[in-house]
Amino acid sequence: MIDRRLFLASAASAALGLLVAPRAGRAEDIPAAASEFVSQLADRVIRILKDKSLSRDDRVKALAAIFLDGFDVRAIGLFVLGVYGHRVSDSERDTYLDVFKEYVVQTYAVRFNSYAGESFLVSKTAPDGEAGAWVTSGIGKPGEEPTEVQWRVRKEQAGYKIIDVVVEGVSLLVTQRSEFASVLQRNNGNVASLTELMRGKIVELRQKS
Amino acid sequence: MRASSTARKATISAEIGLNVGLVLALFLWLPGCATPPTDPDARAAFEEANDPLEPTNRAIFDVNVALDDHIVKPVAEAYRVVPEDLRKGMHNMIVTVHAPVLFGNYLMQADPDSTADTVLRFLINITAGVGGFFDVASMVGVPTHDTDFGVTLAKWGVGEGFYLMLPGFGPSNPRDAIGLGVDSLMDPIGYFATLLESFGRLVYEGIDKREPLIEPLDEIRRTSVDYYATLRSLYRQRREDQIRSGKGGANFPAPSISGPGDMPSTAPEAARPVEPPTSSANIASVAGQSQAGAELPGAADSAAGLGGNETVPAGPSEQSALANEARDPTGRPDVER
Repeated sequence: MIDRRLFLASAASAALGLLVAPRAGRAEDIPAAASEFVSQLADRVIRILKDKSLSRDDRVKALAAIFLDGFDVRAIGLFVLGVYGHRVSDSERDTYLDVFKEYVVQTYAVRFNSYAGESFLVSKTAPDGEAGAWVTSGIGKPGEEPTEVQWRVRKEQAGYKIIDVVVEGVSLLVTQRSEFASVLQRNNGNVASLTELMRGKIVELRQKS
Repeated sequence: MRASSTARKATISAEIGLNVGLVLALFLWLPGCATPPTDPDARAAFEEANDPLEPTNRAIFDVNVALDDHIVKPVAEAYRVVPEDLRKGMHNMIVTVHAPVLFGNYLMQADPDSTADTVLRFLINITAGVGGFFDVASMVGVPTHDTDFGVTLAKWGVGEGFYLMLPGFGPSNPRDAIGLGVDSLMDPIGYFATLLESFGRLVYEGIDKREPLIEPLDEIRRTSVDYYATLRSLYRQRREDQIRSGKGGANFPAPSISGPGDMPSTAPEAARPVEPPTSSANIASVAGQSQAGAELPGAADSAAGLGGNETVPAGPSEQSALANEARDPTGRPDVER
């Protein structure tokens, strides 16, 4: 008797919850959704890394796909051109962006391949502007002090996208921009020469990996 | 005895003085300063790099890299023959005997918590940790800290100056280079050890620092199109983080939105200058607070779970639990993901 009443009560509250749900859902909590986005992305990556049936090439391809899906590589690519970004021609820029995409895949996505059973968990999330969030996570092997990694996530037309990763206070975006600025400065701001340099690096990285 | 060690210290100081003199001589003799470019974009990049001695720095860097390739890195690799537990123990001892320097710096930084932790750590590890070999203090929950006189100067308001590549020591700047010297003067062991012992310790510390960096540095060098510029940026950012005591709040710039249908709400982000003087993270959290204040308590939580539910198919209860855990800055969710 009591059980049935309890059951009815919980069923009623569940139904109520479902009714209320869509309305409450409109006022989206961006930090929470961003944190969920990062967690799911990490889940996808770890699932691929744990999948022993995949060949090495397939694994890299799958990781690259997740990477290009989860990061706003175009925005990042344009940003890291820094002060030289505005003087690049349209065709030069498009070539640069294509090569940059491949370059980051080769440098960052491939880096996941050194996976050794690390776990990933989100520890906190905070708003970043009106349409973004900083999601803080710990990555580490069991029994070890986890490395703090912060993901800068932004809500865009195409959904949530990562725009920067900060590891122990070091921003990948800032580092990449400084590096490119140095290359561009030494090549009279010629973006095509930076593109060429990246092309060479991609060939080199493909051979070694 | 004391007189002789003081004399030795004086010799070391003289050595340091001589080295500084040599470094200065090198600066005068080597390619020297880069002339600031006239092109406005190049000029902006030049100022952002804050590396007026770049030609000289790069020359020193090349020598450092060559030394590293042929001596330091091979020695660090060979050091891995030593069992990990033993290496860890020796590392702990180095850290323990460094405590007086940390103590002095934390005092000067007026940081009572870290000062107390440093004293506590030293006392615990020197006794229960058998002369510092075992890090018992960390096991009982006294956190580790690291600082130096460069950080102290920064907290006193001294700027970094400009980038400086030190022969042998690597990336630095005038502030941190002075810090390096002051730290060595603050170290009581330096006053008791012989010149040979001090040198041995310096060498050991170098290997101890280099060993965990073998793979990361290889990786950076392998992937970067400008190794020198990458390390320059990494050094700066790491120092900034240390000065902020790893508490975050850095003013990282953000890219502007790309693609069609850009969201206007982030336009201020895009319009912001390259290195905003105020912390965007702080502004963000303040903005977030005022936003949250407009909502009913608890409403944000339910919206958190349900908002995520719209985009991803998953159990609603699991969703909101996850979101709540993730939002709690104190309690780390115990889920392995």
